[in-house]
Amino acid sequence: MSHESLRIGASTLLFVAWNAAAQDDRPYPISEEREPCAAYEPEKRPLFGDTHVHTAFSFDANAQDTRTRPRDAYRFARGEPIGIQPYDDDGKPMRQAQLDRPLDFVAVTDHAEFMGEMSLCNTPGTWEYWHPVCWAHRNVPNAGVILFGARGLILKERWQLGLCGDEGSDCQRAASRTWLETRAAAEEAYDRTSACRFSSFVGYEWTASVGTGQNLHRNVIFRNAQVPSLPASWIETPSARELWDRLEADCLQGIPGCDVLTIPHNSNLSGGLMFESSRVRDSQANQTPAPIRAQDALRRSRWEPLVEIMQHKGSSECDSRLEPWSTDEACGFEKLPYNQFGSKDEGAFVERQLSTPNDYVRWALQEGLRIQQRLGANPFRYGIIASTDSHISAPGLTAEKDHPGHGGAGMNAGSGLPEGLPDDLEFGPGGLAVVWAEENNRDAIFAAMLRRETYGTSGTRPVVRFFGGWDYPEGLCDDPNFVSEGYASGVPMGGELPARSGDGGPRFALWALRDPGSGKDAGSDLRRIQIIKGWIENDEHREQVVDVVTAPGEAGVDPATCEPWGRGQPKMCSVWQDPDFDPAQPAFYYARVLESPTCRWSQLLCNQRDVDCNDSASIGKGLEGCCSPEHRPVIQERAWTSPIWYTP
Amino acid sequence: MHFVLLGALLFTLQAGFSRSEATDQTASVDELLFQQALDEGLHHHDPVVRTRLAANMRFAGAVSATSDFELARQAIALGMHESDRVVRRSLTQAVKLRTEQSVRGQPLREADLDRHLQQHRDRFREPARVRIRQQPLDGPLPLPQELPSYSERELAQHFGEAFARAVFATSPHVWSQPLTSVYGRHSVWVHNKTPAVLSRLSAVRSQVREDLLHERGGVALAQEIARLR
Repeated sequence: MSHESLRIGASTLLFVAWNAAAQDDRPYPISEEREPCAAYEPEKRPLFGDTHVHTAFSFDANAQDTRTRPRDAYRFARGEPIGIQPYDDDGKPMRQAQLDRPLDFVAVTDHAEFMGEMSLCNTPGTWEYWHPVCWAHRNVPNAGVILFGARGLILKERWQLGLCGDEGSDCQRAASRTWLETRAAAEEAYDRTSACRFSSFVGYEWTASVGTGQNLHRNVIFRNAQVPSLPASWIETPSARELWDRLEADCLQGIPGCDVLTIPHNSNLSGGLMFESSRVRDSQANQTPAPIRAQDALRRSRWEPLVEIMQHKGSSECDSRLEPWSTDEACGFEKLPYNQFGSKDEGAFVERQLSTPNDYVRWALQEGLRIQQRLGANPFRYGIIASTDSHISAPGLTAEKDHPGHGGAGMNAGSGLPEGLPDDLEFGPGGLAVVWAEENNRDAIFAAMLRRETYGTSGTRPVVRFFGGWDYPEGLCDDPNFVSEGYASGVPMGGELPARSGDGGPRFALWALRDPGSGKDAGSDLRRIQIIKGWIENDEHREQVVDVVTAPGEAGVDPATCEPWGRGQPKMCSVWQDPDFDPAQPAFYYARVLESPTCRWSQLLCNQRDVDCNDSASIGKGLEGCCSPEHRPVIQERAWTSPIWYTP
Repeated sequence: MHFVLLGALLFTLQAGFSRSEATDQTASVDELLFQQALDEGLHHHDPVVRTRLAANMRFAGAVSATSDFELARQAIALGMHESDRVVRRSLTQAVKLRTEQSVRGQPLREADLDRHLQQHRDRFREPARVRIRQQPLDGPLPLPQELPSYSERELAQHFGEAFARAVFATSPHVWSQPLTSVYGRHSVWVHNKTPAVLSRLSAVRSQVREDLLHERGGVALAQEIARLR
């Protein structure tokens, strides 16, 4: 049975009679017992969220003394303050964080790997508490990451003797307790009343890491509270294909009403493997990956409707250091100086090397078209989201100002207050996931994810509409019914252009509104809307970047003071028609919305600490990065929409 | 075995540090809970314990008995459950979890939920709300004109803080003077305003319930430990 039919069947089975009458006008099945949302908008509204968050249940976060748990992460997302490390001798956190703009939805996605080990290692009084690995995990900075990461993620073995027991059963039992708490926290946070203020999703991260730390990570997001009794870790499911097999058996076929999708992230750290065959596993990391087959391509497009294009470990859209994108200056955004964790630190496992084009989402979108021409199925039909990958239980903490560092692969604040920059220079606060949904509940959001009506931002909150069709009039921007017409005469972001009408190329209608800002962050005007078109010609990748709307004049920011100069525009709208359209060529189009430049988190801090790069005495300990050649003092925040595809 | 020895060495070293008192305290808590499990006879009934002890017996060569029940009975008679770390942890955790979760079996009275709600008013407070129609005056916007009932903070998330403040200061049932948001000027009609109130229990019952149970679970465990001392 196909994934799609299982989805429909399962959802139909769970259609709850109690609220069916009140919600039967919804264009998606309601799979949960809950009050209908009072605010239902057929033309949808943008919901801002984060689908990638770690808490103390993740081995790397735990090693950095993150003590807050899923319950705390959800409370933080709803606007409550949390304490973050370091902790003083009395166990009180020495730093606080709070969102001034709560989120609409969140999935806590702790690493499935070592959930049990974390529970055992941190339970005083147990024998395992004194296991040398656990002792080192608690007392030696980063030792846990190395001990668990090296053995588990590279050798794919658990510490059995004295810790996990035979066959890892003790750790599995402990993991089930952690998983139960994760599920309970999601349930507590979910607003099932008609107010529909917040949606939580049960999830976890499947942390595949092959070769020398090449990242094939996926976040697993469940539609509702019907979830398997244990997460599937990379140790037990050593390839994406096997993960989907397990999810299909445990969720889609195993539990009525269960539904799930997976979201790949950090392709920029995959060493060129993220967009290879889903059969890649560790034992084959050094071999030429097997070619993608038609069935695999079809399956992948169904399991993975979304890709995470941005998070605190950089952007994965494209890379202006590489030849295909050397003329696209916006591709230089938040780039890492290495392409896998194994080469993060100089002199580490492997020699440092830059990413290659196949590490990036734009390449994957193009390659998907190429595979579609050959096999009839596009494995990389990705909608776009972004998230934080916070490892301090702080979903949506994306402000540049006062960025505390999100931990994880970044700087460790577990052993004391950072003296200088609180995070590695190349990392940042991360991004946000935005879905266009009719109402704020799990079913509406999950349905939006499945149809890819989503976009990602680099952390700010611009509102972006993007429609594709054939007949949009030139004056649509002046029409108060822009949105109605957008849906009626075409498809929204994430869709497939309808059958061609007329002789011209497709038309795209775009609206962007600036981030309205908050008390803490004033937000920025918009500078430019671009459309990126990709297609295949003579079996080769082709692309074009078009400036559709550009604000007049110049705008920028003075790094010395972080004062902006010049102006952008608070709103932009345009209808653009592709003048070079070839109806025989498959293509995709996505929009990129660029804001006026502002100071990056690191520059804000360097200024706050009065660093003057011409005066070495002013460069305090830990602030050396302020004056390093790699330092990027300015950031141009942005949004990326899901593509709209054309298939001949 | 080298891990066991190394672990024992680390334990000894760490025990000499300043936190030894807390560690001893923690260890004694687990011993108390383990003894409580034995007093209640949980080791005779716990399926994890039974499976573990049976496996131990088979490993030791006891093959005459055919059922796990019988093997586990023989193991208990030999005192094997006292020394097996998995059994000890399972029983300790069983008492902990049972104690924490015991509060879930108690009926939660409406008064209990209401008291918890009253004690945590900030957590369950419903902010003042306003429902408006906004008419852009500087060209169309891709935003709905009829808006759902928003708090000031929610309205600010869509239009900016100055606009939200101005809307909340606007009288209902008249078209306002132009109000400026980050997107330009708007005329606003306020349909109605709802003052800030404590949420109705019926609207937040599940959150109040979970919050209260979480709090009670911690108290129950602390009381049980105190009682066992």
